[in-house]
Amino acid sequence: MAFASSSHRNPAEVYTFLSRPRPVEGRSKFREPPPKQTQHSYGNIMYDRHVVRGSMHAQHIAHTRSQSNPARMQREQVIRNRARDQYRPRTPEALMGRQHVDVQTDLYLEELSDVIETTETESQTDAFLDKPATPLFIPAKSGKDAETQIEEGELFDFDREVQPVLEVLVGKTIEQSLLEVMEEEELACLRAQQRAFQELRNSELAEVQRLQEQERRHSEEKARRIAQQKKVLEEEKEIAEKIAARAYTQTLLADLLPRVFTSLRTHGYFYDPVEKDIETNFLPWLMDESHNNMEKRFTARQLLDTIIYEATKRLDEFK
Amino acid sequence: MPPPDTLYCSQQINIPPELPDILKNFTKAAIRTQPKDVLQWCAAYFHALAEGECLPVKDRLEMNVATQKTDTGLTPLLLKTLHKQLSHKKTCTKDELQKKWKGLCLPVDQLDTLLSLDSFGTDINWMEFFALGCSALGGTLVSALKFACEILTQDEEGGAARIPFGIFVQLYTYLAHLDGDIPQDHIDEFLNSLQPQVKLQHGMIKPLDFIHRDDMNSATSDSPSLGRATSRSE
Repeated sequence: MAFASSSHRNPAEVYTFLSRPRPVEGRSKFREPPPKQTQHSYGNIMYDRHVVRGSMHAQHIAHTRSQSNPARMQREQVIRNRARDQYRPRTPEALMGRQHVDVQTDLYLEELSDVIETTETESQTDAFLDKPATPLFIPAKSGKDAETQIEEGELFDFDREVQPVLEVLVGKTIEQSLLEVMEEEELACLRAQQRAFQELRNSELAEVQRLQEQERRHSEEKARRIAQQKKVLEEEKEIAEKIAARAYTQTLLADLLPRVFTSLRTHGYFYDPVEKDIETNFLPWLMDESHNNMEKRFTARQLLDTIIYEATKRLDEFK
Repeated sequence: MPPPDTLYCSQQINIPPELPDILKNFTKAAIRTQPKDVLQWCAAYFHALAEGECLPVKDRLEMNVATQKTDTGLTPLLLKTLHKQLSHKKTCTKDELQKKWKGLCLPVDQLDTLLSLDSFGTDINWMEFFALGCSALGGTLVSALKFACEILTQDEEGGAARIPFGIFVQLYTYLAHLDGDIPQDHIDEFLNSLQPQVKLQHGMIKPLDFIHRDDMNSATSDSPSLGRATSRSE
């Protein structure tokens, strides 16, 4: 097997050994196929001479049958022995110049025989007996004898027994009540403080509200005054305008009346009725009459002229 | 069940089930009241408990107030306790008063002093005695009335201590008459000046209302105006 190893033996030192690690030889996962001869031995198991065939009942009868024939049995036995002997290994032959000698090695001779001396004995257990009562175990006396008697009131002393109960009762009561009183006190203090603060706050709130009200009223008052003032100013302006307008119209219309009257007069709306009458009725009549008169005169004159003309003409003609 | 004849172990000791509660209440009352003589007060407490009367217990733990006029005697809460105990009837006998006074471990000579201030027969009008107690607590008339307000009020502690105006008038007139220095018209004027404020508060009056107003002569300009301003803002 090849492996790397080194074992030095330094003269002054201890023996050392080292070997290089080597990988393990892989071994096959499956075993090799069995050799070919064994395959022949496979056969029908029913025909194997090791296997008993037939029913067990039949075999039992066959066994009893062979027992009734002792001679045959002996013969079979001899045959079996001989077969066995043939196959038993024996002591090898002695070598050249030697011989086997039987030697007695043990101290005492012993008869070897096939017949084994037997004796028959029987034994029988006894019928069960009841276990006897175990004797009372009274140990040997050791120590001294002593006796005592419990008197009235010695087992239980009320004052002593009640002490822990009392301690707890009274102690716990006092402790608990102290705690509760302190708690209640604290709560009451807190509530009182809360109340006081609430009162203060309420009064301050009321004050604040009052101031707010006042403020609101002031501002309202101011607004109202301003509005009033504005209205006054506007009224004044209006009044001034009215006054100006009135003055203007007054000056404008101051001489309206005389002008109207003059104009009317000039247009002849104010007339003297007599005059008017004279003008409208008399004078046109007069004019007409005078016109007529003039017409007449004219006509007359014309006529005269014509006459004259004619007259002259005739005169002329007569010359 | 009655205890067995012989007790063998501590578990057999029977404690009545009501006992712890009684003990607790008693201890709490004792802590709150801080009586000078515990045994006497104890007797008064259990007597009152057995009779079903009002217990001689202060409502709250009261630290000793340094500004007390009387050092070992009456405190406002003690007066309040007395008031609780005795105010259900209008008058009480002198014996009853003495018994309750002693039950609270108050010095008897103080009681005598108070009773000597005014002539009392065997029957004592409780409100009058109460007024005297208040005046013992506070030196002046106004401070006495302030204490009276605080003691008699139904309001929570720390809030404005209000009492009905009728009681206030009763106490004030009684104390003023007892004092003797204050003329009647002064009293009437004072009471009338408080009327509008009272009407605003539905017939109740509180210390703030009269504390500033009373010193009419020597008041500064600030405090009455502040008082009036706060009262106007109600």
